[in-house]
Amino acid sequence: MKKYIFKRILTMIPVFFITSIIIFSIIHLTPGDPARVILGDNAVESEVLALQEKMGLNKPLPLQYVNWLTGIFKGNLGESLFIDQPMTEIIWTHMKPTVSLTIYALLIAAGMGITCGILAARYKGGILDRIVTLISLCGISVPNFIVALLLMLLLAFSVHLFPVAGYKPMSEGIGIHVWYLTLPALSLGFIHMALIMRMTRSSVLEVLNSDYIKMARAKGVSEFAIMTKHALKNALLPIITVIGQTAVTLLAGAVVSEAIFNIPGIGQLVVTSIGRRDYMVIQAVVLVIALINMFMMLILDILYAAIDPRIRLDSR
Amino acid sequence: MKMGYLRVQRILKNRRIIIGSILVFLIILFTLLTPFIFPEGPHVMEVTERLKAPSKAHFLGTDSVGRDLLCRLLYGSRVSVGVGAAVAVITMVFGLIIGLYAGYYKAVDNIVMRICDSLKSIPSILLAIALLAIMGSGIGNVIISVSIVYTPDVARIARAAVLTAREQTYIEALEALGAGANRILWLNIAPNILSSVIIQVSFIFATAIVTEASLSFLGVGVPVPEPSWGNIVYEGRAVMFQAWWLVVYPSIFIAVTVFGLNLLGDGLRDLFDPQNS
Repeated sequence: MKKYIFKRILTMIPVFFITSIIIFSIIHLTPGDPARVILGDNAVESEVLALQEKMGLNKPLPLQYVNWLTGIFKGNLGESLFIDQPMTEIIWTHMKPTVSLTIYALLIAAGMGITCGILAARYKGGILDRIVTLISLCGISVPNFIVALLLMLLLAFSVHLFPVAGYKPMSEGIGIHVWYLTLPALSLGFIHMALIMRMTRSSVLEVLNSDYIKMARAKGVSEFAIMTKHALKNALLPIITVIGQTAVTLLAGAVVSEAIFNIPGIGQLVVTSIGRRDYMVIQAVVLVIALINMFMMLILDILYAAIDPRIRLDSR
Repeated sequence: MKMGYLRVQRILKNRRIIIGSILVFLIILFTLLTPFIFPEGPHVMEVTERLKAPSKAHFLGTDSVGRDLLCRLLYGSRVSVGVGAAVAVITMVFGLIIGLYAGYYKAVDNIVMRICDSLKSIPSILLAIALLAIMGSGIGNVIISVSIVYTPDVARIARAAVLTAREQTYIEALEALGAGANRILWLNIAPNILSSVIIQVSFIFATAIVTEASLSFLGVGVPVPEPSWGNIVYEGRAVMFQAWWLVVYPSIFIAVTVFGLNLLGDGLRDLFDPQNS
């Protein structure tokens, strides 16, 4: 197991470097000088030069990259051109609402998705199964900003169940925090609920059709024990995969939900930074999210290996 | 009993392809016919007709400057479906090329697949936003950035298919006969892996439409006044509580199109690749 984890961490190193090069090149290899693009067409030459100096653009590209990278290892993600705060602090304050939203959405998606998926597989062909199939087809067909707007129209405007938009931090009480985040989380989680439902259903179905389940049935094991003890345990691996991937996609998908519901999270930070051409913030956010993503994948892979010995033995 | 069940299932599967193709066909048909239905174009404003609810004169209502919503949605479908189709074709071509060579040459594989892994470690929507933030909005840039985001998916599928295909004995036989790598790749392996690539591409078509809509909705995709489904919702959102139709109808257009494409993809997968469905 230790050997597997070590090996898995080693494979992360090249991916990290290539990712950092990609993120770096997005900003620095595009046609035109970033400083000029940021300041716009009417910029005075001296301002451009000053900004070039500040961003280190007058040094050769490889050197700029090395400086940026060593900065990252020291915990310095660059400087925002508009917000007078260290980048890590900016990202940290904006990360809190996003993380709350993501966890809430994940709970909705995984909770509903797994329960409905199992029930649909258990009563295959029944009404519930049809509803689940329909929801999962709809879910993957509707972009989450549409779910968000429709929920807003229905549950906030027509029926005043939830606030239309806005955000209350955890410090104002957990109840109000959750209440304000419910619509955003529902809209964000809906699509992934559909995916998890679909995955759970097919993976439980596959296990239920296997010989050892038939054997258990023949022995007279109760239906409940078959579902919980035998089927679910073995169907769990693909489900965990989907949930893991979901967590990361949710984090990025939050960009859209935050923009709609006016939540001061990472998404809003990105959108306002685009408007202000604050490329340094965009670069830092993309890097941080990519890093979180890589670590999630690492944890997932280690989890698989813990659940399924075949994986860690195969990699030898 | 078993036979009957199988037959029912097969019809069900075929029905997916049928419904999916009909939907996709209808949308493409409307997209092509739009200039004949609304020869005056999507930019005609009638200030007296602002924010009118759906009626006989304006089938789906009008927007905040009095433009006909149906007209804009139909013209928008040219942009949205066009972007989706362009992304599908580009990702298919590049994904296939990358996948073929990566699957065949180990050295290429190591480099190219690490780059793909890295690209995929940045969540798709965020990568597309970052690319567009730098390149600037516009239909062409949306197509380029969304293609960059989804090409690794096709490449990965193609590569996996090549890895299985090249183990087959007929490929070994061809190699023994002295066939060149390019010949084997393009004439013998490519036709065999095309079905898995097409399945993946049909899903990317759908995803690209959703991505374009999300980007335009955030204001970084197709810029107004050029209509796209995403930016129609973007404009409609400001007056959504007075004019629900400006959000609901574009949503229906997007949902139906994506639904049709997904259905078609599912159906194709059942048809070509029954094991994986």
